[in-house]
Amino acid sequence: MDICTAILAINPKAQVSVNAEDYDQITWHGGTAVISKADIQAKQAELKTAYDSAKYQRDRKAEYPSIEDQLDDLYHNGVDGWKATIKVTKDKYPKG
Amino acid sequence: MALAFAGNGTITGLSVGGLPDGTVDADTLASGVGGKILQVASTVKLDTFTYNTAAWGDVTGMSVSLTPASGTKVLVTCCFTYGTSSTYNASARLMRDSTEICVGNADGSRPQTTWGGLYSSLSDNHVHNYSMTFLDTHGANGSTAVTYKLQFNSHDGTAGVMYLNRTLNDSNNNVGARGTSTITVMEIGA
Repeated sequence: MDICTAILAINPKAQVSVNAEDYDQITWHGGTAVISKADIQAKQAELKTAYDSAKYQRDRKAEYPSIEDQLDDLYHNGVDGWKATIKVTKDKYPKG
Repeated sequence: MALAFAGNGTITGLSVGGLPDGTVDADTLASGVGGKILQVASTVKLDTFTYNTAAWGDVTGMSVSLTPASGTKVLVTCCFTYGTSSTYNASARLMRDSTEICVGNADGSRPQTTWGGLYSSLSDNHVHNYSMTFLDTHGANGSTAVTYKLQFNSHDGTAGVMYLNRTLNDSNNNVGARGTSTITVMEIGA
């Protein structure tokens, strides 16, 4: 998670520029209150944990059939057939 | 060989480099002679820059200075690698010191930009490469340096984050491309 993303997670109205992803090269614009390096780093760690824990969701999303194919699956195989199709992906990428 | 002034209007014996610097200036040359590149300056930015402010602001590392003589022009070439999301709008412009150059005419509240409507029409993993070449009439007289630079404006502010030299997602894999940005200025003799 980059510095700007962490800053906006702390203060969604923050206006900044960040050069070279360097904590010492953050410029605060428009009267934005300065956020400490420690607070930014803590938020970055928090966001990374949340991102990592949602990996199974991203993996599943990338592998689920398209909505069109799922509707076709429902039409031809019913709900049980559709659930069986979806379960393949869910089992492949279990919740962390 | 000794320097000699002949009666037919010729000078002999003058060595290459024998005239002091500045003895022959652009005004001394015949019309049609010149157009030479008098000096070149350049900067390249290899790291990233992030900006989300709804006002014009300098892009750190994207500025270059030179001291042009009176009557010359400066050819400015700026190229930058840019990433953002499709949701937000943003602009960039070229500046000579505090004056914007190579921007569109004023018309209502429309932003006057060198590059406007900057957003990714593809995906959050794409970067775009923008460039502009502009022949600037600088107005300087050889006594002070002129600085050319790139500025950003995230008109939507806050969440409308602009990324230089990287994609929005900046994934640490083969889709998280990093790029470079440059400004090169060349003083052109009249």
